[in-house]
Amino acid sequence: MTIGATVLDWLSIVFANLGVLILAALGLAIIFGMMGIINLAHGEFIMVGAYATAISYHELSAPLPAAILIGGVASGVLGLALERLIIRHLYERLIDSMVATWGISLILIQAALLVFGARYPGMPTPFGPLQIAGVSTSMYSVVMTMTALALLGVVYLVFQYTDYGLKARATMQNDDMARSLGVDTDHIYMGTFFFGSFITGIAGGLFAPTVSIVPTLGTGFIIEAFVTVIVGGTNVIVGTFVSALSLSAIRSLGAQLFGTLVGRVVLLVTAIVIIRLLPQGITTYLEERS
Amino acid sequence: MTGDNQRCAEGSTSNSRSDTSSSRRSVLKGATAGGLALTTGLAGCINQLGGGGGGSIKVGSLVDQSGALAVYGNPMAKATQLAVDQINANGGLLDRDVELVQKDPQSSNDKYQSMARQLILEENVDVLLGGISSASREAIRPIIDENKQLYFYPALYEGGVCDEYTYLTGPVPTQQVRPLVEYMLGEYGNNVYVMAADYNFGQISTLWTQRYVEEMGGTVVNKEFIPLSVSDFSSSINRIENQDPDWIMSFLVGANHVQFFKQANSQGLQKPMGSTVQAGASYEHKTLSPPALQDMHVSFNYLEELDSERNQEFVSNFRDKFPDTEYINQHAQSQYLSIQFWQAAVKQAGTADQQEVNSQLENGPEVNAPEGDVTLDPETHHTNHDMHIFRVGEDHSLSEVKTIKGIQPTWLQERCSLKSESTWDDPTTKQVTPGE
Repeated sequence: MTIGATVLDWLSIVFANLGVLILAALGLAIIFGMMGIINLAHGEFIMVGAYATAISYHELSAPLPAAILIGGVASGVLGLALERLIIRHLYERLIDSMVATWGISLILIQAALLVFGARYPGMPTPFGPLQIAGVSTSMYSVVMTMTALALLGVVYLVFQYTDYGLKARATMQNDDMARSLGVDTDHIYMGTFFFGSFITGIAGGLFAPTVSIVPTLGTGFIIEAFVTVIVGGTNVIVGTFVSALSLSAIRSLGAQLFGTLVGRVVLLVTAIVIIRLLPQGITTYLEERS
Repeated sequence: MTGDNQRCAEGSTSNSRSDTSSSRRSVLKGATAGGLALTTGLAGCINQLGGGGGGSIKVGSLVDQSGALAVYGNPMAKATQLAVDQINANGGLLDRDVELVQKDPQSSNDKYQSMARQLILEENVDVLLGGISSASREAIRPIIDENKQLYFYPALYEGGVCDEYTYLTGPVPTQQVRPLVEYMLGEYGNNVYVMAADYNFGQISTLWTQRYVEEMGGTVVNKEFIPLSVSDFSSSINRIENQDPDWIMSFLVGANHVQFFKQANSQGLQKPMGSTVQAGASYEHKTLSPPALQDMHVSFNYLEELDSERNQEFVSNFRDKFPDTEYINQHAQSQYLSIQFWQAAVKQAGTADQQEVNSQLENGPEVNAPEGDVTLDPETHHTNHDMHIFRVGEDHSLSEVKTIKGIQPTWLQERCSLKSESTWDDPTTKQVTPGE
């Protein structure tokens, strides 16, 4: 095989991987980056999104995009309810919120098991294969990465150009000051948690055709999501993108040269090295230098 | 028969213990219950020595009904229930009821260990069944050996277990991998790519595949071991395309690995595949949308599609009792078959005493199982099977392409002599691997 083909192969995997990492991490980055809440139930928000998507696909015969949107709404509404009932009492209490969200995660996994059993019927992966220059890849994974990049854009627009985004950024920078200027910070926190959960649910919906619909499906994404967010640092958009891109590049290289297991190991080792050298994440380092 | 007396004493203590715990709930009944426990305990004891009668006989079963291995375990749990209910509906065993204590270790080997201890030491089961992954079996086998617990392992596996207390009712590579490799090499060509789950089952099955492929003049062009948590196969699929093998051998296991077939299909990889796991064990031809599993070839001692009158009767009994069954897999039938073997031996022995039942099992009973008439091999504690190779079509229907009658676990027979060299009190408890 020629070097050119190898590089093309690698790029196709990096591209597919990039989408998965962005989708897995984006909702977590919003909730962690903006609110400082470490949501250990993040994987289960993905799971809820995937289940809602699969259920509406099978039971309501909803077309895939609509089913994914339903997944986002289901996860968002769940996030909203949990924020009102539990999480809002735990702002500024990092450890307590971790324990609480971990508990929520366990409850959600077992609830899914009780209600839907060990496995819910899966969904077919749409679109089939895509051939470019001798390299074949899954069309759906290309669509998934495009959607992930579009979602990044949506998040950017929401925080940069909407009234809510302005108030949200003000609240995150200094919530006392924002409150004294008339911003209802309680509602901003609520809205941000909903938004983060909604994006996570969309991600779950997009994952649904590519995974087995089982109660523990979220745990498969949670390590990658946390690694991506922590490596990326506090800037939601740039951090998630830069971190997802570099991690998927390095993981795919390891996987392609030495096998899937090595790819995983390389991903985690890289994350450890970056966190050791840049404890605040890539974006904070970039911001401090500029 | 000092051993017998000891077991008998253990039995009676446990009876009174379980009755004491219920007496805690109701103080009034306490005194009578305690008294009763003593008498039933003693009666059970006398009856055990005399053979027949007494309280219920306990069957313990460990089957994953949640977690990554639930796909295999759900039909198994139903099969166990069906077998026990059928025994009780026909008047029980030795005129005693059979009581099933079935637990869900949630695909966790830690839970396997604690639940095995619970079933053996607290429930005092007369026979233990179950375990799905080889990792789970090896996690509980030391506990089984330590407590001299009669145990049936139902799953297909990598072979080599040679253990006084353990009976294996699934097929081993001599029976399952060898005929499949032979068929695939003859049909599709010499270059094989192996995809295997990264734990003892996948590793050792790959060794077997390599050995058979090389013996028959083929080449293993590459082998990959995939951790059970991996569900993204894009780099593997690219690698397979680049190395362009004639066919793929799959030892992929569990809910995550299933994604390989979907992803391969959506990336346009189309190769004939062989497997000893797919379809017959994890029924991807039912759970995935066609044509993801197209051109898969599997070899099994049992599949629900097996065309025989006895199997049709088994399937209709099964589905009458459990109408929501997705598929009756190899594991479920082997669980049922295990109980058939055990039941035959208990009848022969005239007692549920484990040592007595064990010596009856070592006489090589024959039973009419749904898969056909099968016998136990006394020296290896393994089962002689007819094997069937099925091909999965584009619409995911199965068609039989080859049948091989009466395959014995020959490789292990040369290395394992439990009946002649191992005894209940001085047991062999090893696992032989193809490297040895």
